[in-house]
Amino acid sequence: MRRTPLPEDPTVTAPPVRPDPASGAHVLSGVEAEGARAIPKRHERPTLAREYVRAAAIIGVTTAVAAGVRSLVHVPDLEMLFLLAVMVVALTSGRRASVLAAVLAVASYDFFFVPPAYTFDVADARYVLTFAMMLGIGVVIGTLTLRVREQQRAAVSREQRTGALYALSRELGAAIDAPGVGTACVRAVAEAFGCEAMFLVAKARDELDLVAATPSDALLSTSECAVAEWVLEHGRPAGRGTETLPGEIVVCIPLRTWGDVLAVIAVRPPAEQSLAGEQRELLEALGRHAAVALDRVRLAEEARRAALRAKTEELRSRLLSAVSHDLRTPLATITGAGTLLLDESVVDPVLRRELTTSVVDEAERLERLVSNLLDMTRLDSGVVEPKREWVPLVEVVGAAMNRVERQLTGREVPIVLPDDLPLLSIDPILIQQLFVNVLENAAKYTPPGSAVEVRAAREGGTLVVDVADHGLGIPSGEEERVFERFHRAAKPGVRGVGLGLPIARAIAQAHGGRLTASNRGGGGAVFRLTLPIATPPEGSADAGNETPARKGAGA
Amino acid sequence: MSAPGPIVLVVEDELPVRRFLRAALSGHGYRVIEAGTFAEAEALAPSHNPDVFLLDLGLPDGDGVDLTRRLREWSRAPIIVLSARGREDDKVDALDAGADDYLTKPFGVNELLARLRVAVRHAGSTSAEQRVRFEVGPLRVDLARREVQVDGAEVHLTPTEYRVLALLVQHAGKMLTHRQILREVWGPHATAAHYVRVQMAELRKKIEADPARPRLLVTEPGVGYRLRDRID
Repeated sequence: MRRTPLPEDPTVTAPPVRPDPASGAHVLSGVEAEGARAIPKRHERPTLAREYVRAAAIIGVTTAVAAGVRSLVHVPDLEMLFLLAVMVVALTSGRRASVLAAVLAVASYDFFFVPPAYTFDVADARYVLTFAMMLGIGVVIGTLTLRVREQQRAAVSREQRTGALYALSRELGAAIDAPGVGTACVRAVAEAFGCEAMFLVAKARDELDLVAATPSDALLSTSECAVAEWVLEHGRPAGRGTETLPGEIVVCIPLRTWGDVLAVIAVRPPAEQSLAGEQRELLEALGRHAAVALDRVRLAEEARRAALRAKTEELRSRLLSAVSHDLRTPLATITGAGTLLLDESVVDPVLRRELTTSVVDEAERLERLVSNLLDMTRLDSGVVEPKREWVPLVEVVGAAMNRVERQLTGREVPIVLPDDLPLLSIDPILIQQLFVNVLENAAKYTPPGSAVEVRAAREGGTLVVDVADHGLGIPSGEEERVFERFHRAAKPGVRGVGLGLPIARAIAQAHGGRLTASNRGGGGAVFRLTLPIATPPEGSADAGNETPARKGAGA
Repeated sequence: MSAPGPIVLVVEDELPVRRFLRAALSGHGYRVIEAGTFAEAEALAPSHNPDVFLLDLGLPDGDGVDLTRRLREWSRAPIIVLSARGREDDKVDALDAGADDYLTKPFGVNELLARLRVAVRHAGSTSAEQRVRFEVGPLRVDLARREVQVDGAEVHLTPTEYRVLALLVQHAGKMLTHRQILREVWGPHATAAHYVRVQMAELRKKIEADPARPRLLVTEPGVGYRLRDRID
């Protein structure tokens, strides 16, 4: 989610105005909030009316039954029938309906059964007491049944709540990252309230990132983002049913353990409902669980990073010790030979020549090491973005061959490149370096005079180049290790740095390709470069399709 | 040697490198003038009118490419720039600014002397006596008769290939950047560098024994091409 600036600080005293998408007019959120609050009552009204009607019907039926009974047999206490009816109403309906039933029962009894009949007059004062008792019993029973029903409902919602929390904590236990926590949380919220829910993790102090939502494509509108951001900033709930921005459809609550808000849950209740009372409490309880899980995930992530740092640190110190060794050895030779050459008592021309040669050789070795280190560092730090150009493979291979000519002296190096290879979108310097490194590696680790083959082929959308040698091959299981930095195969007389192949692989990867090593059937190693083939630019195919000019043509 | 050797102006701020260059050059008949900075070079160059410039691209008080451009305003003497590996863009800039060649540090004496020889020889030939016939290894090019032969057999080139080859022959031994070739062959507004690469690949197929191991027409990745004028 992008940070959207709040139009103003939305507070209770200055309710913000938001555009009403339907009318295009701006609606004061306070006004709409009142409407929203009135809605639940409207919702209740039909139920209440139904209860009243039912209460009246029950009393009517009772009256008819009582009249029937009285016409058949003489029953002294018909009022008991009415009390039964009031109890029935109280058990099935609300308090108001039971009070209504009691009143109706009294009125009906009075009208139909208390002499003089069919009037509300009462001849005998005794009946007033009966009326009072009927009314009182009706109210008491109504109240009692209501209380029982409420307790029952509370027990059910407690159970639901416990169930929801339990389910959530079980899922949270398995979550290993913030999106995992978010997914578990939105699922629990959506199940508990049957509505859309979104989980936004605080990225920076004032930036939220939507990591999970139910349904998964749910999004927050701009004004809803503003609610979420207000919550992030102030650490208090906002949106529908709260004191802040009640006109919004969503309600957002902050997730925090201590200190800063870690995340925000945004819930979009079904139209015209708000989460109040127990529902809000449940939402907040779910939020607390999620907050603890989020904190745990964050700490785990920090621990992981610390471990990675330690590993990097270890690698760095390994690198440093390897480098300092590799730097010192040639330096020691150069210093030793140089000082000896200064010493005029050494006059043997053969010895002087040997010393000079070793100075030059070691200096060259130092140069290679420094170059490799520089390459590696630059590839590592991402400074080297391949400078892609459209290049024929034969040109880079040719340039690499020119550079390794000396190392490959005395070897057969057949190069097989298909004639119809397209131009490649590669950095010619880097890919040339890759081939130089792989070829130098072959020159170092295979017997002098043995052949090295270079073969290229197109395989669908990729180019595959194999550099195959006839050496001893790679010990099985070491195929990946040869690409590790400072890994040097144990071979007497070979003085490498252990960076050539790692650099080559890094170059391949920077081009979206791969460099792998394997052993070939007949002995020897194969280094395989795989590069994606892009669509060559226009004019690359026909640029070479001119017909040869006759001698003297174009003059 | 009876005639005094060519004058080389070495512009290099590192004293040890200068010492090595001085020793190497004066040992081979060159007369060496040294400058440690951009300003010093600008002051010394006009009064000595050197035959060759050896120019380090990383000077403490200025850019070697700028100095190349300044020198080119009045001098036609060959300029060879010295630059580190990995700074191919600098080399291209210097070549495009008018430098004739470059040497990648670190380099050996042999390489240095070879480049200087090529540069001086080129400077010696004026445009009037531009080479008409060129021969290296199995390749023979007769620009007057528009004839190209490899191992005595005539080779048929397309007009574009011929123009590229003719350009390379004119500057045999010298490094030509992609931009220079593009401008000379395709015109000043051409930009698609891959035209050059495609033509080079085609040309190699016709003049090289093994295009994957060029001996005559070598590539310096990221910089350009050089038609060798001698094969060792």
